Amino acid sequence: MNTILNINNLSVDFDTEYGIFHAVDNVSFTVSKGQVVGIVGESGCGKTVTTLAIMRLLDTVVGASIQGEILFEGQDLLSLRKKQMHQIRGNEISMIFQEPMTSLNPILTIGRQITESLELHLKMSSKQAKERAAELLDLVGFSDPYQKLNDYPQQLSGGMRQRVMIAMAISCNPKLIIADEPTTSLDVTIQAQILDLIMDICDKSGAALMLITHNLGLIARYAEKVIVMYSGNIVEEGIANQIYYDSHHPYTLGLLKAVPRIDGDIKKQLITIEGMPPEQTDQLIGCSFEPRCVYSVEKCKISTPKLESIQKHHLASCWQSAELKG
Amino acid sequence: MNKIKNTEYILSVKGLKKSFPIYGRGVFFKKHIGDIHAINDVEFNIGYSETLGLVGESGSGKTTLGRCLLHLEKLTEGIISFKELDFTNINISQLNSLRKEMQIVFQDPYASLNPRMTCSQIIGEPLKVHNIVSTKEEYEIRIKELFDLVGLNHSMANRYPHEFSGGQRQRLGIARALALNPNFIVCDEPVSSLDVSIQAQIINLLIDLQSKLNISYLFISHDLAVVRQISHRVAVMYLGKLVEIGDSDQVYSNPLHPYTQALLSSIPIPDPIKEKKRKRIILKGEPPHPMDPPSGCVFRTRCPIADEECSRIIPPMVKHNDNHEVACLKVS
Ligand SMILES: Nc1ncnc2c1ncn2[C@@H]1O[C@H](COP(=O)(O)OP(=O)(O)O)[C@@H](O)[C@H]1O
Ligand SMILES: Nc1ncnc2c1ncn2[C@@H]1O[C@H](COP(=O)(O)OP(=O)(O)O)[C@@H](O)[C@H]1O
Ligand code: SF4
Ligand SMILES: [Mg+2]
Ligand SMILES: [Mg+2]
Repeated sequence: MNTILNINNLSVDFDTEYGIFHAVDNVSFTVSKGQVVGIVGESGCGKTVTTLAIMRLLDTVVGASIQGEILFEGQDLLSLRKKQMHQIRGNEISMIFQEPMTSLNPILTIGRQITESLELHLKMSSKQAKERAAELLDLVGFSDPYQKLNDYPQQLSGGMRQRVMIAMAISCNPKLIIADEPTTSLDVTIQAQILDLIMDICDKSGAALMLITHNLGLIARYAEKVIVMYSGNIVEEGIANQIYYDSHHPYTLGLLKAVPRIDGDIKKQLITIEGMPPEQTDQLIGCSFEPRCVYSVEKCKISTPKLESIQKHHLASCWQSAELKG
Repeated sequence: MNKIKNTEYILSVKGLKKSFPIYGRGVFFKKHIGDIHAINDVEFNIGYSETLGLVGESGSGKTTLGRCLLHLEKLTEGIISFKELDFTNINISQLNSLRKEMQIVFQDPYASLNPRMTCSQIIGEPLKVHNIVSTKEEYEIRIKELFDLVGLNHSMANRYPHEFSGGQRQRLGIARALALNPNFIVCDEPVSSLDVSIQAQIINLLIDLQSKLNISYLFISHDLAVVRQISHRVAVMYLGKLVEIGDSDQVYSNPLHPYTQALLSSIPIPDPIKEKKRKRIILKGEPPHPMDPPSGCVFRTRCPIADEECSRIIPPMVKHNDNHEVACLKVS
């Protein structure tokens, strides 16, 4: 089987003081072996919560409830015991976060943080682990890997820390890497270095990559398959060319028009999506994008569109999708 | 204030330097261990109703430059003239009248808005401080006017900033900056923390206000695509130095400095076919620390075409044509 991750009807609710909040609402998608899947959408649309659910990092979050299935190589991660999940996390699936400083331990040396999981997951001796850690640091572009093993995270720049995170993420040869806004806090020239490094590693090791970002340019550069999220839902999914040149969802179309670019003619005014994403307690009937949608018709207010096939690989959830041309 | 002859520009900067002294711990007193050269010999002009975009990576000195223009930092060296007046050494009352004409909009509108004040109080404060309005009616009318200008519903006047979304807060920040009818606004990363769809709304608003009110902007951003959208001219900064300045269309279509070229080639285009075919220049390493900038050209340690000369000679800003200048020894 070619599918490595198969998410079925995943929902994540948070019980908040304002009521139940559907952060992720009935989301399904798959990731194939070695595939690069881009997930794009504005802040608050549920990208991070989806990844936290996959990693089972919501277990300890008070008020969070998860429904659905997350099949990793056919095994439902949601039904695994804590200990089993611990084996998978960092070993088979690993994660690169936006802010490496918060996910690196400030009181442990870089070396210790890398060797720890090598000893735990791969049962290496401390000497072997140290050798491997230096090898990994070399691989992610440190010129003095043995020296860097003794450094603490705060001695490094943001870009360097992200390199360390990547070294840790690939240390156990994972089959799936989830990178959640891995370069959002970095400068563009560093961003290019880091993403090329991640892609290079995935290419060589055959790992699949879920690249989560709000940057449509980065998705265009790296992703084979693109998932567009809005307000907890997948509103469109397809291979990159389908999404960028033949979108069938008003939100995707709106985003593509609203983003300023360094190529092409400069428009006098950017075309905007009016209004804002819905708030927590908003209506649940109808299309969640309806209040901002320029294509909306009466039906959109009363009936919720489902993700339906447009053509092979291409899905959109919009009553008007047949009327739309990318 | 000295009158200097210059009628084309609202703002002129010459030989601007700003250093921050760094102290280490001495035995009896603080020991001066060096200087951060945040801005090093910068020169440019901004025309009336013009937007100059300022781009560069974090730490390159953009914010410091903006603060110097607004007189929020003391210059180490150089001359800044505003509307033909040299205001390098001005007194408090001159500074106060200057403050009316120059304003700033920040990246994080929330951090810059007093959480205990209502929106109309926030916008109205500068009106009171500077005695702009004399009656309560005038005050109310002006507040309503400002709300309308930035596209905020007047019914929100008595709400607090935390009840607003990021985009609305940025509108509020802009309304406050507009209260005194300034001619010049420094916008320091005003849309950097906003989502694409909201970002576009704010950019459009700023463009719109410029043509309505004839304001000049220094628009600071690390996002070159955003800067292209709003700027007539653009200046590229690296480690406290301007390396290239010119008309937007020239700099974007024909970048001359190797740093500008690398920067532009690093920005991904939301177009998969074009993007995957593009030739990219990936810079090695990271910018050096501004306490100890490289000799000669500050970019040479990361420059793909640097040679021995570049470590000896500081490249002067040279005209490529009337509307495009570059500081690189290897560009002819
Ligand atoms: N622990 C939590 N409790 C309540 N709401 C949460 C919690 N974590 C996330 N959310 C909400 O879920 C929504 C989706 O968040 P997230 O997945 O982080 O969005 P993003 O797409 O920006 O990564 C947001 O509205 C966020 O406020
Ligand atoms: N008040 C200060 N004291 C010491 N150093 C400062 C101060 N303000 C800025 N700097 C330093 O000056 C340099 C330029 O900073 P800044 O103007 O904030 O850059 P940018 O806005 O381009 O990111 C940085 O190295 C920064 O650390
Ligand atoms: S379903 Fe209706 S409201 Fe929703 S995106 Fe499509 S046209 Fe717009
Ligand atoms: Mg997130
Ligand atoms: Mg800054």
